[in-house]
Amino acid sequence: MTGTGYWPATARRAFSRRRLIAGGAGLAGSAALLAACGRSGGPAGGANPAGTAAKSGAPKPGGQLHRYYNNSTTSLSPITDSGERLDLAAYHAYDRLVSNLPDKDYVLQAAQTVELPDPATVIFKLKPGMTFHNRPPVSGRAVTPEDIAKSQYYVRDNPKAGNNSFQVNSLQTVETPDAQTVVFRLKGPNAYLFSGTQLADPGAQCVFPKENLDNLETAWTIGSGPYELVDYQLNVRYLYRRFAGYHEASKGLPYIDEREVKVITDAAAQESAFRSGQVDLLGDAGGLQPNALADTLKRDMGDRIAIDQYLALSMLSWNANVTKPPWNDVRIREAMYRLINRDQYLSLLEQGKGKVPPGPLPAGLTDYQLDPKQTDKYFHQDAKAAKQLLDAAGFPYDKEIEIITINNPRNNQGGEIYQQQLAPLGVKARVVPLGTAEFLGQRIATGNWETFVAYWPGYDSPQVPLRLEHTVTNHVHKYAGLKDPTIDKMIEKAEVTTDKAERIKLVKDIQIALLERYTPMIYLENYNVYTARYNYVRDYQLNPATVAMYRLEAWLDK
Amino acid sequence: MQRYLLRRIASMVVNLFLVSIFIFAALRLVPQNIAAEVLGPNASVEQYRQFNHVTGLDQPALKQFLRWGGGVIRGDFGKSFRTNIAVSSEFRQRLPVTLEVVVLSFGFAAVMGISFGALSAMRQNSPMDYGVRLFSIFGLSIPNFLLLTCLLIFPARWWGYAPSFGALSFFARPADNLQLFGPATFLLSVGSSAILMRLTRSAFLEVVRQDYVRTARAKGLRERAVILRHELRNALLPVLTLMGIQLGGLLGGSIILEQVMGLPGLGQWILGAIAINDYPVIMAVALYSALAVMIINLAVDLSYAVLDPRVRLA
Repeated sequence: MTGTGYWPATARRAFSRRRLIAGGAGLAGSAALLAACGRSGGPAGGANPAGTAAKSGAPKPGGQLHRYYNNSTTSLSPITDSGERLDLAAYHAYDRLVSNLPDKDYVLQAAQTVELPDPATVIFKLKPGMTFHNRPPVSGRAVTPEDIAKSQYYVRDNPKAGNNSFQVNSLQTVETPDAQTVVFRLKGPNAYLFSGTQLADPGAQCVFPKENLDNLETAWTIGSGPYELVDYQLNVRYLYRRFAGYHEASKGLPYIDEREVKVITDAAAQESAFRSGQVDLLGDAGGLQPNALADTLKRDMGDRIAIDQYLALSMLSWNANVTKPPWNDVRIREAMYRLINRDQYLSLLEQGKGKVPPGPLPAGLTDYQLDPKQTDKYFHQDAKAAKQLLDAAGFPYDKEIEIITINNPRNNQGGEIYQQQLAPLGVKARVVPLGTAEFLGQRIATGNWETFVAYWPGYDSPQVPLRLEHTVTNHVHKYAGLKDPTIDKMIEKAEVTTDKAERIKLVKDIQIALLERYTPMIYLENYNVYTARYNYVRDYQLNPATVAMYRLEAWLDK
Repeated sequence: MQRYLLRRIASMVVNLFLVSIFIFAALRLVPQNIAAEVLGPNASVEQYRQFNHVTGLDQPALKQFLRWGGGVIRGDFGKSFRTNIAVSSEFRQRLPVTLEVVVLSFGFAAVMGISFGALSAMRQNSPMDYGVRLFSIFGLSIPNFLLLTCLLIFPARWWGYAPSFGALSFFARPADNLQLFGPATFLLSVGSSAILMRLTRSAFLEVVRQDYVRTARAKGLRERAVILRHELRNALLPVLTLMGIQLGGLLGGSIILEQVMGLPGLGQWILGAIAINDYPVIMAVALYSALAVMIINLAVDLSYAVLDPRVRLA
């Protein structure tokens, strides 16, 4: 090219031989870099069965299941660390005497049999030949009743225990009459004995080797469960390998050889790990967020994945503190019932996917549900009646109501919906998002709060939801419920009524009594939970109560 | 030079002492019941008392500070209130992760910022110049947490690609390690490199018009020698100052990356510690940050003497 000026000179320089060679090398290097960084879109471990669900058949042993845990972990103790309690060690490395499933009262694990000769005595016979994982200082010795007894007392005496309600409120003593027998003497009948907060609690009921009880937080996890911890980096990655000495190993259980769990706390990172095949499950600790992601994943990934759905036992609730005026006035509380539109929460927060419970219990506790026709009269909206009630009670319209929430988008939005629902009546309110530690430790535990909107954990029995209505809640939420002596007596009676039919009737009566008094806990909605998994993950049953998606019988069809 | 170094080190010690007093006092100004936060609200009063006694929280503030300071001099930063693990031990495990994040992102920022800034200045008003300036505005405008989220979401949705989660030691599996750290630290460096590009460009434009540069060319020096020995060296002085400041800022920027990518570094650690007022951890990381910034500033000051012979450190 000829000519002077910038562009001709540029063109000459651009097409010089040296530049062309350099440019080509640059392109080749970039291509190599992209190839190194790129990854096939398939799942971890290589080939994915295309499209169709595998035929049901005999489970195939082997393979590695990849999962993630969605919160930080701070130690290895399933007593004090929620990650270890709700997922990691509790479900992989440790055993329990019993566990439960939605369609069963209890499932035997370390116990071969369980008997209740009277309502205050539980006798477990241990399965013969159970051993701990073969790692010092335990070194594969047999599991003994003494381990179980010491584990129970350890949990009872540990102030940092995530849940020790069984050991503190129900358990009197543990006896070990022989090498295969453990006897729990209870303080009294326990109607919810096999529920997820009692004998089926994943963390609090772990069988710990007594050698490790003093340093569960830092000692290598050693249990008698189906998997051994073989490698870990705290708060990063945990690798569990099938324990050949597990008491069900003769049946081929567990089928999956290894389970790897990575700690991935960011929602975008979790989704990208699932899409790229680094993890085989998404949303298995609390559901997909937002739940609309289920439709997006199904659209994008088609038949490679399955979306499972269940109604959460966790519920969103509005609460007022009856120890503080004006909430101790039943007229004010009734006004809230006239004002709060529960369907609006379901529609705005969950896109209508879920259920509004008919009474003051989670909708998933189907045995205990009231007939909506019975309870409609308590929940019908009537803004005019609400205003009249507030005026009659002398509600201080010049005062701003404080609505505290645990700071996350859904909770905050729940608080804002309540704020909006109050506005037409001229009631001023402000939403105050707080960190979890401040919310629980400084406000809830001390009673320094007025109202809050929050999601509760899921409970598989009415025990905790009803206890929260008792004057003595046995919970950090000491100021939650109605604090009515009559209600207290009804709740206490239900807690010791071991006959299920009779207990169901009692619980329904309690719910009606609570509604008649316009309890300051209004259960707003139960949401649908969606989880995604690759189709080759088979027999992976969901347990709404305890969230963790652990099943021994799961297998990988690849 | 030696006297200068000794004076600077002495002033660093004094500064660290002042920083430690400030952080210590600031933490205790906020009324907190740490025992309740660590043990939970269900613990008994006796257990709270025992916790406060074991951790020394029931002592007067001055005594707590002296006890802590004495430990620091011996290399003992205490134990985390939450995990009961020695702070120094966990610090040693987490530091390499944060260092790798900072070094990689700083490296990317420095290379991109200086090289593109220089090119942009040398090709003033060319398409390359416009492109670089456009990119620098983009880099300044987009928050890095958004870039990180885009790095995660879009490649996963379009190509099924994601970095390999779960921090791996570089020495154990370097390829996987770089696959995880590389793209993320590159994006983290975008904002820093944008600023460096702009500053390098303007510094270069000022330098290229100087008489000594014209003289160097007139002498017949090769273009590469003119750029490296005369232009770059003189243009880098203000850029180095900014790089020192940015390096300190990257220590904070790594928190976002560690949270998003699940890397067990210092940033993730201190976030958790702040939530429950884990004093030993907060103090240790704060001191480390202060020390790191001081060392970086010292390195920048020393580099002036290397680049500019007129600068005498005394």
